[in-house]
Amino acid sequence: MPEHALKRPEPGKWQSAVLAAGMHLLLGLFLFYSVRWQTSKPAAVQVELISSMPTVAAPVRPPPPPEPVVEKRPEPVVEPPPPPPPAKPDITFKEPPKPKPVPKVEPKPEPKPEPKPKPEPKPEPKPVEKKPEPQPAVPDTRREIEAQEKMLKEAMARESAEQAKREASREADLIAQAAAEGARRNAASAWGDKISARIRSNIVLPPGASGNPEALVAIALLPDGSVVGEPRLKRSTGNPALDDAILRAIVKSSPLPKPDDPSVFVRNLDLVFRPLGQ
Amino acid sequence: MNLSEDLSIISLIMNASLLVKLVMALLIGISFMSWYWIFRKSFAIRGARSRTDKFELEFWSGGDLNALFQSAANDRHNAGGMERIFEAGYREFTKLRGRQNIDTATAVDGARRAMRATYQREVDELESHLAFLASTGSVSPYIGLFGTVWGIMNAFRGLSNVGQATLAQVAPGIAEALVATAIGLFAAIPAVVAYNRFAHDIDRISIRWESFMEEFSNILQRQGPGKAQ
Repeated sequence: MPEHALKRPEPGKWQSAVLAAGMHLLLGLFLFYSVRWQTSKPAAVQVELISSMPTVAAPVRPPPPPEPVVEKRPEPVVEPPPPPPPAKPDITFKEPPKPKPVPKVEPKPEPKPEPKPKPEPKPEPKPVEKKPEPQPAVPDTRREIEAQEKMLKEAMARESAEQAKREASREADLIAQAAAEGARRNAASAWGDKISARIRSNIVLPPGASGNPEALVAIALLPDGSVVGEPRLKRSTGNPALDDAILRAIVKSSPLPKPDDPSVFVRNLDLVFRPLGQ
Repeated sequence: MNLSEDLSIISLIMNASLLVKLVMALLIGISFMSWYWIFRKSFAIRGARSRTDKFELEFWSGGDLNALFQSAANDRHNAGGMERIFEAGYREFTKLRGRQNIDTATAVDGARRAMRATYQREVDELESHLAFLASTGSVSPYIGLFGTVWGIMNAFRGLSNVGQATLAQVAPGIAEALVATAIGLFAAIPAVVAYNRFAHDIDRISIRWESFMEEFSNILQRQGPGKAQ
């Protein structure tokens, strides 16, 4: 039969190949342009943190622990008793150094945190200094009443009136100052809590960290909350790996939350941070 | 593992492990071949159908069988399946009819056998490579799944080296691995659809050819005695 040898028509051999190639090209283009999950993700820092931890931990170990821990520990223990306000805030502020008799005795003047508690414990030494500071309305009226009383008394005895006036004004001053200080302190501690929470959410704890260690870190801030440069460790937790983790976490959470009350903001922040704490 | 890298399809494929890459390459090859045969078969089936239509029209328009046979025999390379069936049957019939001691029934039987043989050859030609589409449709999802399972195994094994296991560390690996399944499905779905459609089309064409064979046998039977004498 000749049909065996028949050359059969084979339509579109090349056409089919080209069409198939075109089909796949189309699919490839479609996938290329439609499948772009997470084009840019700011999670790069996280990975670096994990991978670089062991290498960084080793060299830093020697320097931090020795001197500051022993020096500083006694200080907070001595200070806390005097302040009447409720909680000791996490944040302390670098203010123009006030005359502070107690710390000066100590060998190290440079770390002079916790200026807040001072006014209450020692009002006697500097009543005159305080007067020029702004006085709120409430104390003012109060002082007027005092003053009227004083007018009556004035006739009686000048010295006693003088004494009373000084006493009263100082008292009012103290109250006002305590109130302002309290509000400020609350705002500051709220801010400190916010910052601590943010850092805590970014920290990668090294294995073996336990207890409730506490670190004092100096952070330079821009007004928008971003951290300038590297944070400095002022007081170590005693665990170098944990210290490194804290510093990395601070850099990573860089735009730190801003305080609710802008007046609380300071550029150089000393943060007491408890990585494992409450 | 670098997370900041964007997960475009290219990087997904490039980051996959060797075995997964091989699976993907195999699947892309299979997919290409299956599309090639889809196009070729669809051209072939369309051509066969249009030729069958054309020949049926010519045949039933009442032309001379001899003239029809001549034109089919002259242009056999471009002839459709039905034309070839007709040609084979008519050739066998005329050959047998020329013999002395052969009656019409035997000649028609011979013509029928010749037509049957040609019919089977033609249908076989039309059905060739359909099996490839069928096995692509059934097997390539499994191949893709194999690549995916392997890739996911690797992704999870990578977790053991990290202290903190997060989703971000497995996600890229899993996404890479799933690309294999996606390619497998892309190869399989059109193959299955095309296979079903082509099988149906070929069935219909072969039924037309078969009924033509029966009708043509009747015609030969009718015309046999007159011509034989």
